[in-house]
Amino acid sequence: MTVNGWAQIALYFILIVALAKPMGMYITRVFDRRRTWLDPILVPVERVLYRLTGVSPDEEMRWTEYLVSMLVFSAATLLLTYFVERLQAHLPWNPQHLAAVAPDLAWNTAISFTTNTNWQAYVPETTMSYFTQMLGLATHNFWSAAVGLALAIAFIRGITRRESNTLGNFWVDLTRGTFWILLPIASVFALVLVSQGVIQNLHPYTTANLVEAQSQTTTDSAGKATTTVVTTQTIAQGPTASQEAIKMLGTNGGGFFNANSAHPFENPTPLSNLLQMLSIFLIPAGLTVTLGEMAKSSKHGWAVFAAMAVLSIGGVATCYWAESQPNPLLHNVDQHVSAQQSGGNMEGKEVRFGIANSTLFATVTTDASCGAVNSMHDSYMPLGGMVPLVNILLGEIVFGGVGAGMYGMLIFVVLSVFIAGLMVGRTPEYLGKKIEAYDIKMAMLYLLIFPLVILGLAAFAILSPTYGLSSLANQGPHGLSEILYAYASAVGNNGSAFAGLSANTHWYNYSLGTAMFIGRFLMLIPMLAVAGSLAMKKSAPATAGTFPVTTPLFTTLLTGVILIVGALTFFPVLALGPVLEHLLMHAGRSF
Amino acid sequence: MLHGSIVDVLKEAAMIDMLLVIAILLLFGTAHAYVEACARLKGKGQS
Repeated sequence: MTVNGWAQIALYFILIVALAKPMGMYITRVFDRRRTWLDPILVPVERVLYRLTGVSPDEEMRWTEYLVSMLVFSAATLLLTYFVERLQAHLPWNPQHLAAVAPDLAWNTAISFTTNTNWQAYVPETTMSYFTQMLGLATHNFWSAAVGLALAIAFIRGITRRESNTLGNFWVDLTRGTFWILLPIASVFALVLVSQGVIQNLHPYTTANLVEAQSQTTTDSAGKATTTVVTTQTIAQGPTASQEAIKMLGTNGGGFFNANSAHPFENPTPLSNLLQMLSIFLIPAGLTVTLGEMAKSSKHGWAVFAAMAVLSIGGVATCYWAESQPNPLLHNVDQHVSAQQSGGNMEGKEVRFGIANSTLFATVTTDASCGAVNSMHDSYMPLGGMVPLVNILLGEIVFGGVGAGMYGMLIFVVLSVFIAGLMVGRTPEYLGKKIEAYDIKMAMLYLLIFPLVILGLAAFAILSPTYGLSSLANQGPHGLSEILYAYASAVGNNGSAFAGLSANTHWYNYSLGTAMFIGRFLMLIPMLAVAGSLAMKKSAPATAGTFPVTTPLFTTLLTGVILIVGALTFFPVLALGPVLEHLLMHAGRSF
Repeated sequence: MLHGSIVDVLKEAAMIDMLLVIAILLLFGTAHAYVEACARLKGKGQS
């Protein structure tokens, strides 16, 4: 670890604190339908859109209507993406003449992008045409983020409205989130990325002559070796910047290239790297301020922000420390920091980012449900790799995905307030509203679906040599971590992966696709049920006995509840995976 | 390897697509039923 590394990490969090307030205030204005500087351009567009689609913008929806609208929209866009993938050979902007995507992979990818997961069981540059990348995938980067944002706003309305049956209008929230927030910021951000060297074109792939010919020797199943001399290299092209901007801003994470944000065409410079990390937390951090504004208690918003920041900084510190340690299995190798080398574990990391910016990126992308990577998490030290895994297993509520992080965190807030009420023997209240049996039942449904699906499917895969283990490259605790990470990433709608697991098989495409669907839709249904229930309640004024949700005590309790729930649920499997691997590594074994 | 005529191959592809579209609709149908179940539970709690 270096002072320079810590300074860069500190700068990142200072910038996030500085950006949270203006972003949060702007989000509040947009969803309160107050005037913004974009109104002269966007209001006429909005009116035309509502007229064409028959939406009555002033008509409010109950929570069930809000959810059904969201499900209809998601189903329609999912099917669109599926058929675009299947028909891409007959569609334009396919200069490499790529064939139709296989049915199981198209199914998995369509669910993946609809659910904001962006799990990629394929190599984009050899599988997806430019048309598919733009119409099938990049559009979902906007839509899935806008859906998450709309749901978070609906939840905040639920806890702040009094004796109301409605939570807003899904179509209006979807439109305003897309046109007022995501599109303008992503457009400007894409141009900034182009200035850094991110490519944006529709050219066929470039063929370059190698400076020096390379010999490649392959051995077939009969043991016969064949040597080929390679003199050219194919360099993939494409409309990358436009997809890259919303990939980060919308916490989607699906790379235009297989190497994702480690690829120099996606993330060429340390500045583009910083901007990409900032854009991941920009909207989720802003939503804490929006919570405070809409609840008319800015201190409550900052208290939630503080809990998120504590967990995030703790994760970065652990990951940075773990990756800066020398690998005990490499004897007689100088692994110390010097002017010539970064020191520590540089395997799977880009030299232009180094250890500090790789571990910060890994933590940020898994705190949020982004899943973009600028280093390979599978190459991390066991405890370093455990940090991204734990972040996902905590439910990605540390700032979290666009919208999804906020409503996930608010479920933990409801649970914390409930526990605090039980401790002092009072009926639990949150912002003046009584938390009752139905609210806790729904909150527990939300919390229990998550580990049930991750652990259930991972257990089946681990016990199945035919389905689960046949495409696994590593054995022992590292193999367990790879399978666990895949299901955690799918259910958590993160999308990042530990390498070492070839996930483009029928079993993994179908099981992970189903896991992503459950992780998105079956979790947000009980979440919005809580919002609908809270919206209908009366709000009582705070008394001396009311548990305050604006103090450091509340932040501590909230952080503790998140960690205890996560630890109780996942500690056994973490002990058998990364913790055991760490201990065995110091005993001289690797996997 | 694909066997048979191009028509057979297309029929096979269409069949898989149809099954996967049905699977998608079933998943969303389940989600819709889940919404209804959560709403009914609230109704019971109030009565």
